[in-house]
Amino acid sequence: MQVFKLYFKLLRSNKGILIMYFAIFLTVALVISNAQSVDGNNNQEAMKEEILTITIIDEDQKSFGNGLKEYFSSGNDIVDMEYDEQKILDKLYWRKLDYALVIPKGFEESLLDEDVKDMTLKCMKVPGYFDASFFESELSLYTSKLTSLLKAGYSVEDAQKQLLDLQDEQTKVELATFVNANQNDKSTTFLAYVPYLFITLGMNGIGLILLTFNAPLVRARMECSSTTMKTRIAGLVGGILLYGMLLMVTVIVVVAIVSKGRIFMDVRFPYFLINMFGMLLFSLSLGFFTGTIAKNQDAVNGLVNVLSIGLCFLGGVFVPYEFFGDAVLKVAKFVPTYWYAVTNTKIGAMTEMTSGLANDIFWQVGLVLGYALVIFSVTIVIIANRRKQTA
Amino acid sequence: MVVKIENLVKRYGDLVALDHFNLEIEEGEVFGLLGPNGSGKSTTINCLLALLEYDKGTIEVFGEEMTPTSYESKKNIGVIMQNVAVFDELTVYENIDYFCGLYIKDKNERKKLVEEAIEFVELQDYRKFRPKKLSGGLLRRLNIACGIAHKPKLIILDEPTVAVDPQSRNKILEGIQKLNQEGATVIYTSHYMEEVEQICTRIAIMDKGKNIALGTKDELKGMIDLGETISVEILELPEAVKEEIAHLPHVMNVTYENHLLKVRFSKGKHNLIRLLDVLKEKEIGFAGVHSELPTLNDVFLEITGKELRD
Ligand SMILES: Nc1ncnc2c1ncn2[C@@H]1O[C@H](COP(=O)(O)OP(=O)(O)O)[C@@H](O)[C@H]1O
Ligand SMILES: [Mg+2]
Repeated sequence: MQVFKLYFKLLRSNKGILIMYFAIFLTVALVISNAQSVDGNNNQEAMKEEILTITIIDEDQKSFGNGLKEYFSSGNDIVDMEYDEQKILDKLYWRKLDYALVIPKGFEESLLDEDVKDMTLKCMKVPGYFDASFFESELSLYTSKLTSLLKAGYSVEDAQKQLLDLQDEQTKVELATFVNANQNDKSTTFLAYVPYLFITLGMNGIGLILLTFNAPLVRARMECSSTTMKTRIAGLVGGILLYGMLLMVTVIVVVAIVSKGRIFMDVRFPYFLINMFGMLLFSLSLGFFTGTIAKNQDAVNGLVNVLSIGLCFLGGVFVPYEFFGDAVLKVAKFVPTYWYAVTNTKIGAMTEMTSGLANDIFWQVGLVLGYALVIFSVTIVIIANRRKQTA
Repeated sequence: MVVKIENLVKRYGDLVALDHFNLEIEEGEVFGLLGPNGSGKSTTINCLLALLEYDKGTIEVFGEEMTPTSYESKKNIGVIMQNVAVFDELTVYENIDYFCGLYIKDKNERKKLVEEAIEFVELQDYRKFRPKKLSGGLLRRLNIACGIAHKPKLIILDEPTVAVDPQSRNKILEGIQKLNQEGATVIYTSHYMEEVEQICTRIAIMDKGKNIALGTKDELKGMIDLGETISVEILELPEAVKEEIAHLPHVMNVTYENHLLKVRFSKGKHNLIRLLDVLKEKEIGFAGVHSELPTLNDVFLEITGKELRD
């Protein structure tokens, strides 16, 4: 208990630097997530002119699919792809694809037959990406008009032809409403910056405290005392874990504010948490490592700057991947922040949990945890070796 | 027996820091470990506290073998190391409370003990100060308070007065004697013979990792022939007179430097009278006359052939 309390007293005396890094994180994350998030009032025309790369996978193989492709092929680039969720997500991730639409088997029948339950088109997209959102609004407009025409007695082919003819008369009103509904995606953008917060605060908030705690003079005094080594270590570990929880809670509070509370109802929320938890443990073990190898505060500061900025740049936290060359990408795959970012994007893009996505999250978060475990073990080995040497 | 060290050998690489060192300390003693810098005092203390592994020998504290996990023994030991060991981030009060808390879990009891320790080292006015704001003497007192707040039965102080002003030093020495009167056994290391002479009931003199002499200060001084050193201020001393003095009974050695005649006598009577008679007879005028009894430095000098302080 003494050591546990000491941990927070020492944290208190380092609050300046902790607040500083928190402020940097908050500024960068908020400014950028606001700048990147969807803004319905600007550049509608400009956005419209963008050519989207879309794949429409027609599992139904009826006339509806062909009509749809024809309708959207003007102004967009329609590519053919196999239905491989993994490949599609990868392409979306690298922005080689803006939108993937799957027409499930039996879709056309469900449109025509009142008795068959309505089916939905399945989509995969880059979250918060304006162009994709624009496409989506057009799509929903298209299907709702089509349904009305079908109800009025048109055949599918005729209805689609009608719509094609009317293509130029699209309204722009729906666009604005659609954009608002999509604002939650600020959360995804914001959460992408979490590694920077965790790494800087994890390394400082653990590294600096361990440095003080392990200073040879006070350590000798503690070793002379009747408090067992186990108790002392337990106190430290408890302090570190509670500190980690506080970091996590802080992020959740900020995301709640950013999303205006909607994050708590979001299906993606638990998965975001899992991904963050992996990153958190990685950062904590990095802090443990730092506090063990650093000789003084300057060394801690140096390590924090090099590792936080290095990992965040290489991991694609600060720079979007589309600016990366192939060589950089290869290196990036060895960086845990990269896997955090990939997972964050995938979770951001999801509308419902699929087994493929669950599998991805499991492996990618597992990978980050693996890194955490390796760093933790290396540190333990360093400590054990040092004991032998001084003994 | 509170402490028993037998045949302790500690090497740092090729350097033999402790060379078959032996020591026994009884309850209630203020035991002094006197030796020049590098003689192995701190190494002895660190081995005794199981902070260091050693190459050979046995160490017992309170009748039990001392190991890093001797937590029962550690409960009753208080340690004040050579270098101040406190947290710069904590206040005076918080520091004492933290280190006391490593021994005393009960909050109320601890509060009382911490207050007592603060009063003991007279840091009442500095409770909320951080160590960086304290002078050297106050810092040393804080260092001591952190080591004794839990009222240990055995208190180990390794050179606690280094770089301390004379006033704080006296306070510290008085404090140690008071702790002893309250029942604590004390081990005190120093390279200042005056301090050790002043407070220690028994003294071991160390050199090069060996215990070269052991006893009370009188016993130690009794070990050497030197009885007294008489110094006389003389403006001019002819060589012939110096020769004559050198041949007086009991004279061990004569020096004349900077108008000061120093004569070392072995134990015997009438040394001063005989010396002054010679001076009067030769009509040599003199001013101040001082007689000094032997010090522990003389003991050290006689055994090792060098001064305690280089
Ligand atoms: N960690 C160490 N590594 C190597 N040599 C050491 C170490 N600590 C002390 N020594 C050497 O051991 C000898 C005894 O040192 P020490 O016990 O500190 O003496 P004292 O406390 O009496 O001044 C000295 O010669 C010192 O240089
Ligand atoms: Mg020493």
